[in-house]
Amino acid sequence: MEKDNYTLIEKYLNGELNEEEIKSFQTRLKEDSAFSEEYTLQKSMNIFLEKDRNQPALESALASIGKDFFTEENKVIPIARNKNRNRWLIGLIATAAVAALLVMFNPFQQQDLYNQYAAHQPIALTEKSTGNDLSTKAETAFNQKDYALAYENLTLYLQENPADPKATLALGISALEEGKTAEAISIFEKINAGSSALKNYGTWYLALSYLKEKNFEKAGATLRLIPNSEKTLFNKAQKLLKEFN
Amino acid sequence: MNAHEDHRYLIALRKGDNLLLKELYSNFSPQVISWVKKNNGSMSDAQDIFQEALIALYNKACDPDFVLSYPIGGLIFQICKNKWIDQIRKKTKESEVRILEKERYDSEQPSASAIEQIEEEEIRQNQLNLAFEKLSELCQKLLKAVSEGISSKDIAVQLAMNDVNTVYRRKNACVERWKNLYHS
Repeated sequence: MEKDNYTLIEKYLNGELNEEEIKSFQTRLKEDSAFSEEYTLQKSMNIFLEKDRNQPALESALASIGKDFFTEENKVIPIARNKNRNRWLIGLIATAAVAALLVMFNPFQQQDLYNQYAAHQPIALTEKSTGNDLSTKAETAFNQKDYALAYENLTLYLQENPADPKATLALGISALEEGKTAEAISIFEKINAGSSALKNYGTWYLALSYLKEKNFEKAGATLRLIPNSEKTLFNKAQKLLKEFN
Repeated sequence: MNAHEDHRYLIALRKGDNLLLKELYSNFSPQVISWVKKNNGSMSDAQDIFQEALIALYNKACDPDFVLSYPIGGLIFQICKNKWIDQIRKKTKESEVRILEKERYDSEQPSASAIEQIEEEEIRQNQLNLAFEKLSELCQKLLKAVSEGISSKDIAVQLAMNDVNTVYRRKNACVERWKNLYHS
């Protein structure tokens, strides 16, 4: 009997059962706890044997990666990023410094945290003024803080250039400013989960979106995801986290 | 449940995708470092704990039924915390552990059941390992060869068995023995 189960489970795991057999197998898993235990163990045995082959290589890879991230100075090596750290990012860092100063000397400390931290930097979508009307319009509207118009133009621009990370980030910010918080969150979540150079900005703005919703718990958890390899954002995040207390 | 985008990190663990693994370290190690250090651990403790947590996740990455439906960061952090609490329990005073134990159970995260599954799998793997080590060398070789996908015919030649049927019979006997050792 047990032997039959063994063969049946093996067939299931190897994808050798037909649709009907799979159905009845899965029903049995739910209803027969002894069978379900047998299944879990057999699966774990397969996992063990797969691990036995591959784990040594994984462990040595992890040890070698870990060396770079667990140094006493707590230096975290940034992942190779786009070399094209354009003027937009430099401008962003400079304005972030100004924004930080403003925050520090802000006489209206009681005003809500979102507004204190939501200082959006100008964007540059047109690298060499290609004369692309849509991108110029979107850029101008965004930089003039006309977020409604920016949202409209950025949406159109992104239909033609869906992979433009800067425009995507700007669209998220415009949505956030226009009160479309849910949409903004979903945009920032995607940037946060992706691997573009703006990934951490996605994380930062995702946190700001939660902050705007006054969901401090989620905002805090998101802020803590920003790695200290991204110095400017990391410092801003740490500062904001302190404000929560 | 639907897979969270972070499920790709599990695939990276299984396939050995170093670029994504670096991203895992970059994004999630600072939080673990600062927590372990705050709780009397060193940088190298943090590194060990972090790697152990990734190996624990790797176990589940090999499980065809496991789908990651939560962000991986919180999961890694909680597994690391639990591991560190277990470690200091072995060497520290009861009172200090009790304070930390609170951190383990205070967090009523939606991912609690995923963490439980990961930790259960880790225990099962350790027990399977102990049992496997007690098997005869022939059994160990045979099971590994089958798992590698080597054909029964080749295994028969490699392990000097009479024929394919012997391979099949011996394999079943080895699996039975392994299970019995696991349960004993």
